Amino acid sequence: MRRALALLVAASLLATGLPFAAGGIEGARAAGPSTARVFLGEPTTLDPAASSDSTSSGVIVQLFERLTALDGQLVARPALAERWELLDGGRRILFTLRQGLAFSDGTALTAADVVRSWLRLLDPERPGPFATLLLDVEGARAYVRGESTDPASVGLVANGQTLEVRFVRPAADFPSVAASASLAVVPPGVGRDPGALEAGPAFVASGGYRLVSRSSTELGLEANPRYWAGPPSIERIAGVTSLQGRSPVDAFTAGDLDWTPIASYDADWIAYDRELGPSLRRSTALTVQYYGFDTRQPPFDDARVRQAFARAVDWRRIVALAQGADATPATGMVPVGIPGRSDEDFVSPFDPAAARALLAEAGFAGGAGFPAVTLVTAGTGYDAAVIAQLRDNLGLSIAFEAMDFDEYFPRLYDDPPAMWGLGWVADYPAPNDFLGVLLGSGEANNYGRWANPAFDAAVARALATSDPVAARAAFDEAERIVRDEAPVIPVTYGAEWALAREGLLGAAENGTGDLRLAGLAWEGGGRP
Amino acid sequence: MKRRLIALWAAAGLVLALAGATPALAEAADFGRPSAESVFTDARQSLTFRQPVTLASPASRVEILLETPDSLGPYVREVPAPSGSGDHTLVFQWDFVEDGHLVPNTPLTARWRVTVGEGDGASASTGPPVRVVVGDERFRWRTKQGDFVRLHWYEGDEAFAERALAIGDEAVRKATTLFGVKENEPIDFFVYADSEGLYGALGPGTRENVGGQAHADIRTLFADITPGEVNDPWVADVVPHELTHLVFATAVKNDYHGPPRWLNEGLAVYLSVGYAPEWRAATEEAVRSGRLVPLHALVDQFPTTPGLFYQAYGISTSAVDYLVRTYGRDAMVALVRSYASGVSDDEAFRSAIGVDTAGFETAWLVDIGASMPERQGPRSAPPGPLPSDWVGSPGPGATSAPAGQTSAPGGATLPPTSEPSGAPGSGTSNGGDGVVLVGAGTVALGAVIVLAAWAVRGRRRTGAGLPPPPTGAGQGGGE
Repeated sequence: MRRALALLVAASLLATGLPFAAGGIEGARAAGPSTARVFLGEPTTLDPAASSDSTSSGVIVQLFERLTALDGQLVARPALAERWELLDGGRRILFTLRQGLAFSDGTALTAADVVRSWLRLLDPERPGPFATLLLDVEGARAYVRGESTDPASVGLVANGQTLEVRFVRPAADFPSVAASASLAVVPPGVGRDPGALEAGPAFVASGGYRLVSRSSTELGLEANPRYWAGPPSIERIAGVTSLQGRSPVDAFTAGDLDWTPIASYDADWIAYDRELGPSLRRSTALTVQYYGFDTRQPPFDDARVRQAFARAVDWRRIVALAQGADATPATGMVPVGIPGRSDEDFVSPFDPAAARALLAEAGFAGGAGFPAVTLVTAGTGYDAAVIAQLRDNLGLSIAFEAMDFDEYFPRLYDDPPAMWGLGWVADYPAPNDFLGVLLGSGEANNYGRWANPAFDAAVARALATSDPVAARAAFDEAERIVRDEAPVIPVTYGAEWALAREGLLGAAENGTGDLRLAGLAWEGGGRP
Repeated sequence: MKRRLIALWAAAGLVLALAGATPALAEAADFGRPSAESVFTDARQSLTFRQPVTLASPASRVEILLETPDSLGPYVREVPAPSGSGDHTLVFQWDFVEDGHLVPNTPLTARWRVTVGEGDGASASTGPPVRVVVGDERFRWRTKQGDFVRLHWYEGDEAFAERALAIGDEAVRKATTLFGVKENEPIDFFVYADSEGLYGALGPGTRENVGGQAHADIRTLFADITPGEVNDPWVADVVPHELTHLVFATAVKNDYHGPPRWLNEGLAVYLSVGYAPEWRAATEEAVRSGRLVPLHALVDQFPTTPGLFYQAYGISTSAVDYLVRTYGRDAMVALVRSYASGVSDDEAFRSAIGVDTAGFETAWLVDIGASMPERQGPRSAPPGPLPSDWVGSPGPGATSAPAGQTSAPGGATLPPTSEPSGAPGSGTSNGGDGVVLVGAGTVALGAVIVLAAWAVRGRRRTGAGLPPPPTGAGQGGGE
């Protein structure tokens, strides 16, 4: 549930905004060239273990480093870890940390700090939202459930500069998983000292930047001289959190931002603007928007009803109508850009007659007797169209409720609505992040609580093969089951747009919504 | 088979039994008379909702459901549940600073929903509705009703109101006649006497050159007109422009797709002032300077940079002018009306004028003596500094190294083995012991995308409310 960003930008940027807080960064920018102003959004937390939204994770990864990091091509690269070895067929991974790692205060950073940081996700009293990241580690499930109180029972073995991670099943892609913001390494004070995450001179970082100041509109970031890759090129960055109603385009045009996500509707005209056009950046977002059902409860415990819904809506058309030329209608749960993704079309064809027949077969001919159903979302852009097509093609009257995302998402976990909608962006680039994670039996992020042994088996086969062709075939089979059973209906994929000041190097997101601030630099060394 | 049938009947019986129990559970919350209060002063802007309730058992969840007349459904907010059973007063306050600005005249209907019990035993009761309209108590409003428009003003005499009302009524009459729609409910027209009053109503983020704004979703027009200006020419331009947007919204309303913005704005200008010299000049300047933004780039949002913003109005008006000159006014009306059936732009244009949007745009460009402008972006981000061990292709172990292989700094590859190297995400096999490595991660999570918040706080962005163009008089124009 991390990476919110680009689509969110419209809401957050437009809803917020005043000029930037006085002091700190603004003064620094005037004083020297190695500054930049970047829109980050307001993080809800700076604690990696507590992070569950993309805005927070986008800030966290600047402050706290991970063992690995995904580069622009979505390849896991060494970060705190200089290398890793897969042992026992991927059931063990041995990470070797770089020599001489230190937190920003000079304290040595060792593998024990990694273990301590990761165990915070598994705290049985307060499990992190993404504890699931570690649940295939030996002993992790028992530990997070409180069945074991001994941290040593978890398969995380630190020995100086090495960390051995032991899994209950092969986990060759764990180096990519280790790039998650939730697995960032924090100093010992985090979790013990409430002030450890407060901005100021005492802030201790393991990432490229320290948080030296914080106002209602801005985070003041200062380069960490002890960063493993060396001090970042840009010494001070104003991480703008709020524009208080100002348009990000206006702020960029005025020179108040050097990089900012923008909405796609602004990208259309900016593409033709001589001044702004060269600053326009586009990246593929590894996202899928989809609708889902509570498959435990009537009427959606009946696959025929779900299939009827899938076929009663012309999904491609409503996406095209809502998004126009920029639309990328989904052809399956796995978005474009994920390595190993299939090109096969896994979306049910629009077939209202078949949909009506299925509904009748399920006992609701013409919609008669269909129970009251409410679609609840945080706003998808397609809700009205979906409800209209279900009305027109199935004779159903579906109610609608909207919620703010911060209330909606916990509701999905605790008490999923009969029909819901969600967007999901990859934490790591693999089909399973959209299949097994979202639809596997018993998975925490399987919000519709769907369970299908054939699907689980197909995913397991995909995960258990070394042959890319076989893996793709197994994932394809899983996608076909999803199409036929319709626990969810994929609707569209996404793209991200941004404006980057000309001369700002490295200002590219990698598809998961992260902009690596430590990888920024001004061409020629100084801000134009 | 028989046993199975019995089981099914048993299940059905259980469902019936539960259904029968529901009313009893629903009575666990006994609602009193709800109330709602709007405060809109310089010092404070908020809505406060109260609901007396008697709970037979503790509530597990309390929500308030807020709805506007045109919304798809209510916007739901959770409210802390009172502890214990008995008598309580549920309270929710919508703070315009914290929760989002609401413009005056926004009508809201609120209901409270109380849930008792958990899981399958949970039962929800919904209380009676209470309606409130966001007021603006900063001024002493007077109201005057016209044929279509209901004028609200606080400065100026009756003659001022009569003039403003006449302009509004005439604009609505013209637009409804043209588009063939009926405006059965009055359109509220709030006239502020200065920009401070207007901006306070429209909320933070309002651009400093906005002189009026239409909110089709609440059928309300806001404008800044001082009494001495009511006879100024720009008033007779801006008010019809904004009211045209409201009527246009009625004409094209559907669940699927809105017309391109250039058509909406172009029509509003065309019907209020025509393809006036200032807009013709803006178009000609765009062509001459080579900075023309094509119609297909003005579908959703207009440029926010000043020069291009005004140019966009000129271009839009030019296109509408071309549409009417070439295909006739009836075709233009047919085009607008076709949107009500939820068609795409291409479908609407083909049905009304026989060519799709690309064909129309090409012909229009020829008409104004322009060629299709070249895209200036997007461009690839120039690479930044990378850690030394990130340069070059990752080694076979960078993402999924075969057992025994190591991902070295810089993606350096260790001496090759007989095992295949794995592309990212593809996985590799350990040929030695036959144990298969994982082709894709087994434990990582994805991320939920937060979409733009719907509902009340988003209405200003999704409602019509589009600023008017500049005017020859240079006053009161839009952005």
